[in-house]
Amino acid sequence: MATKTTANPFRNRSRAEIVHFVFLTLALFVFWVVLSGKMQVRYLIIGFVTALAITVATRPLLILPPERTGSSWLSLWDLPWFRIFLYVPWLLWQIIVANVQVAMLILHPKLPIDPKVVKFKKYIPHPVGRFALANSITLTPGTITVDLEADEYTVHCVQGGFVGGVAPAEGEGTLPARVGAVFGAGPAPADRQTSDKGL
Amino acid sequence: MDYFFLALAVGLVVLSALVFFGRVVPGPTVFDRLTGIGVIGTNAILFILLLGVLDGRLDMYVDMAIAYAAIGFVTLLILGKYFERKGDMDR
Amino acid sequence: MNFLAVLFLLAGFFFILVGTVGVLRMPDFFTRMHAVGKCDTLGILLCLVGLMIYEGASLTSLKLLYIWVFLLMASPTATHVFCRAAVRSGLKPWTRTEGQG
Repeated sequence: MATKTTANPFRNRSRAEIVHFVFLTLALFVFWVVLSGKMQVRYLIIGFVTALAITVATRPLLILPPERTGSSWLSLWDLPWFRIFLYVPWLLWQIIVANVQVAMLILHPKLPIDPKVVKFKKYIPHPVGRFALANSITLTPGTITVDLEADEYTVHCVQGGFVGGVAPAEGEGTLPARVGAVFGAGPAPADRQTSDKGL
Repeated sequence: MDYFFLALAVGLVVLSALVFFGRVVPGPTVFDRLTGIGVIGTNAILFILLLGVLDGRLDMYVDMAIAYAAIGFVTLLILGKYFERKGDMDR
Repeated sequence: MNFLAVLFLLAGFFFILVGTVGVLRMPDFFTRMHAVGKCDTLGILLCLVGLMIYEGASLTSLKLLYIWVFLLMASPTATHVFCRAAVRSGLKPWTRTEGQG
């Protein structure tokens, strides 16, 4: 996790490398086996070598140096997997609720929509956490993410009543609070406002 | 059961045609056209899978669907990035 | 078992239909993205679940599950990319004129 700071940066770096190699090679190998469906040793060896080659080739893309994360070396696969598995069923239920509401809006004869754009701030250190929050906002009732800077989300609401789940007038919405609890939230560092434009 | 899948496939083609002539052709902005193309691409994935069920060879058609999904997604990302740089809203 | 598959496929087709109606009916680009980003995504996800149930436990179902996970992540991302491109190109969101404007 990016919130962990230790005196020796090389320890975190080796941890990031190990996590990256083990997870990505395993995931790509499983993907190969599922796609090929052949269980002979020859094909398995070819698949493993290919997975390892892709892992080596994508190493500079998926391991972030301390300049990008602000604290330490970070592998993008270093995720809180257990909390994510607890989060996904709730997200699926929210998606179904969202769809029923939007379907009722669309099929309503008078089309009772009243769009507005709101902005809110929520800093999540992990880039995958930002990705998950943006996609969750898109999939949950009446809101889509329009723009995402370092920690500022611009959200388009199809109807004013839907804004409460994401960015109510005071306090914090339930969705950013939940994603922040899953991925670990924190106050935004002041000196890195412009470093994440490319994400 | 075959007639059910055939009806779904025909329905998908009809919906895609509706999107094409109702949104891609007259779309006011270029992003409306891109959205319509994305919807048609999503329908095409399901259409390929339904063809596979009708053909009795879903194990072969599902590979095509995976390739179509991946290529369609990358294409839409590239087009979105390109028109973001271009920034004209009139065509 | 086939009954459950038909149920899922019909529900998914209904949501795809709703998404199409939304794309044709909504007044501007951003509200159309609501229809595409939610209804179309859930529609194809439900249809894939129906096909998985119809196929039973096999390698093909695993591949369908791969498409399922891929679409769950890719579809909102594509929606977000279009919205961001539209905003940065200067497209203004439509608002209801009877209100404060």
